[in-house]
Amino acid sequence: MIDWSLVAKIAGGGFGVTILALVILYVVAWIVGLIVPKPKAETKETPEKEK
Amino acid sequence: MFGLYETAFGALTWGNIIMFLIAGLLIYLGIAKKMEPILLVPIGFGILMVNLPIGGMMIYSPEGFPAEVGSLSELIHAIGNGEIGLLNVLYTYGIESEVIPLLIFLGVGAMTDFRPTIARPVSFLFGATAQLGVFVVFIIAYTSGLFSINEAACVGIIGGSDGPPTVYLTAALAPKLLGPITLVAYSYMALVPILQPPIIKALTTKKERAIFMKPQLRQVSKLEEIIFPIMIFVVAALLVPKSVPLIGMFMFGNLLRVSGVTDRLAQAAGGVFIDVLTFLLGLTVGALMPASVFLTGQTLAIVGLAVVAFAFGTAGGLWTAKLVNLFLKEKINPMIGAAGVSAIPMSARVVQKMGQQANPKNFLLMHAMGPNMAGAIATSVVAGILLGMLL
Repeated sequence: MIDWSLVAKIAGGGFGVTILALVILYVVAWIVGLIVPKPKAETKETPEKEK
Repeated sequence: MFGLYETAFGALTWGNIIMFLIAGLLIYLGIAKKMEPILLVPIGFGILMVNLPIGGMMIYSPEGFPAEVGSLSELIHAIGNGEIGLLNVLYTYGIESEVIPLLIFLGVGAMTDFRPTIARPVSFLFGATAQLGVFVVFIIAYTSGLFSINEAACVGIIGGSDGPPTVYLTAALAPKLLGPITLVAYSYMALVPILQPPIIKALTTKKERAIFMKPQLRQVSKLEEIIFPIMIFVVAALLVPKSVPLIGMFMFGNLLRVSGVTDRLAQAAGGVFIDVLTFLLGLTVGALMPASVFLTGQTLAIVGLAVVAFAFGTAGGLWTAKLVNLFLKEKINPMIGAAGVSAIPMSARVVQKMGQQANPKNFLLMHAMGPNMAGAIATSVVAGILLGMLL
């Protein structure tokens, strides 16, 4: 006997919670990326022109 | 001989002989075709060990479960009397206790570079939706009547394409199926280059596959790299407490890698340490496949359902990437969503290869590695959710 309500809870609920958890991780990772200072792009030092 | 000596020939069954052929095939695929050799060779040899009758490497209960090892004080006595075998000990203390899969995940974390995921956090969405295969196959497996609800969840997790969470969940929920599920999961991971391309082609147009992405991702600072494993662990642990052992070990291993002061520990965890654990896992998983347990309709069903799980996982990631594209000015190549099924780094390589076939200027590997890593995190979260619901 298949317990359809249990199937719906596990499949629907489980997938839903997975999406929700990963969306939260996405948002947190995105916010951390905004807050933490980015590494400065390396700039090539150009030698001073000899006068 | 004279009632005192006995060879194993008389105890051989047709089931044993079929298992020898399967073991031979796995060893051949591992050695000659280099398909997941680190696992398939030990698994193949483990199968040989337990299908040679009277060997006593693994003793089973009448239901097909490995016999109970008992307490440490009883251990030496039991081994001496032939009541349990060496592989019983490895199974009880390594797999049943969940120690080996968790420690392997620590090593995996120490080898994982999360920078592509940090640089493009939207990868988490692709990793999440690529878990679609897990739940679709769970429904099919359970409603087929062939599997109990716990077993169906373990068959579904094959779609996550990540070894340690699969072993961890199955050891907890359906230990009798640990052998076939682990074997199928690792074998199919090696088959990703064959399984995924036709699914990706069926779900995308050539124009979509040719979408160009700039080869370089944004630079990630050292501080971001260090914050990432700690942040992922804390948030995931709060949201899905049962995922703590998996995510905790995975992220701890990664912190050793990125901290900059524990390089020796990271090298140890990602080196000989993980190698030793992997062959112990392989050998013990092989030992869980005596003919009486492996040669059943359930095993055949697992082999078929795993393909369905991969197909829906690939589709889930792809469809989400297409959906995300509706909101982006600079479009992403939807194939990178397919790499959310994990199977590190196989599926990312598939995306790279197909991307270059469609547009030779494309270099998608690093873009696909982001969803690939996010998929590994997502599978651990799914394992935690299923444990929370079913244990």
